[in-house]
Amino acid sequence: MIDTPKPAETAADNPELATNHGTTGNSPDNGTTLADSDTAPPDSPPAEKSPEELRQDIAALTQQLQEQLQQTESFKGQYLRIAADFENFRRRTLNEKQELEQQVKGNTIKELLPVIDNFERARLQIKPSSDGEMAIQNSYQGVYKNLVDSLKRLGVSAMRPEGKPFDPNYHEAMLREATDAHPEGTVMEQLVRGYLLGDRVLRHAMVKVATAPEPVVISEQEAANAPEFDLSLSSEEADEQQ
Amino acid sequence: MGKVIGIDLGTTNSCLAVLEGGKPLIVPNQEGGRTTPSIVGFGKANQRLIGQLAKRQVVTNAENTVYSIKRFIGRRWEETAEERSRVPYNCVKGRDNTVDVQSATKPLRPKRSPP
Repeated sequence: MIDTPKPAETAADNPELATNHGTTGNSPDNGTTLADSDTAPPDSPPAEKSPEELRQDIAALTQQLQEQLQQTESFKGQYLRIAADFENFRRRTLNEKQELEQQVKGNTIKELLPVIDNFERARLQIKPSSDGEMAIQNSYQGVYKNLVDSLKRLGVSAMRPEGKPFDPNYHEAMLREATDAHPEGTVMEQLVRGYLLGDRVLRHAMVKVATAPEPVVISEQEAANAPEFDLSLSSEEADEQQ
Repeated sequence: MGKVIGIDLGTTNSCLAVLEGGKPLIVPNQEGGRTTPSIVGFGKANQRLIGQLAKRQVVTNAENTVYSIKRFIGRRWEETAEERSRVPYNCVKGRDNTVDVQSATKPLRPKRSPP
């Protein structure tokens, strides 16, 4: 343990010496010269050092080596951690970049959706009476069609939630209405059209949701108990049956 | 290696961040938002909805959607009468006079984080 560090130390300190001996000398010769070179740099006359001093030197050097080794170990750990962190960072940045692209696209298109809404409202509200008005109506509806086609090419599609069960992933409940025409939890009407971009939701459809026919008036305490839950369960079964 | 996260639990919205390179970085939620509504909805078939998802279905399921729970965390039953009258979900008196929430399936207790 004490011997081994010495050659390493000298080799590190005096690479020239080490290589010279390595090429020219034999193994015993090598050993002695290395021992010489070890003590030579700090104190030129090695023979004058007492064994006690040499032992102290060795102890000091061993301790130094231990410290260095520990330091190396900690640096290695640090390096590995940073490398792993960086790898994670790179992977995440790549994902985020793709995500960001989609998000920017989504945000941009989202701002254009009110234009489409207004075109649709105009089509519903305006009743052209003369030929001239008809021509104007057709031409601006042509612009609308153009816009819709462009958005379709970008991957935008409209939702058709009517009649489907309410799903908070795609729909936003605005109001409820008691009815027996639809099972509970069905989307009755779309108030504001929802849009998808690919499989991401661009805008959630604002919808009217059906509830059970009789709006049962239940007191606070009853509501806390089972009946409400049973009700919902039975309506779910009804859903499945349909 | 584990990371430390910081959570701002707000009455209405919550936010979550990690330290990265000595600077806090907000972790966006699944929908890309930097804050998430502090709402939990207990849907049918025992499904649990949180955040925006829960907020969108609150109209259809007001009794089983818990929001503003921070008003009740760590407070006594008798000092919250006014707040209790303003929420559509059902509050019940819990152990040690806490305010628990009666969901469709079981009573839930808002937890106070250790001081």
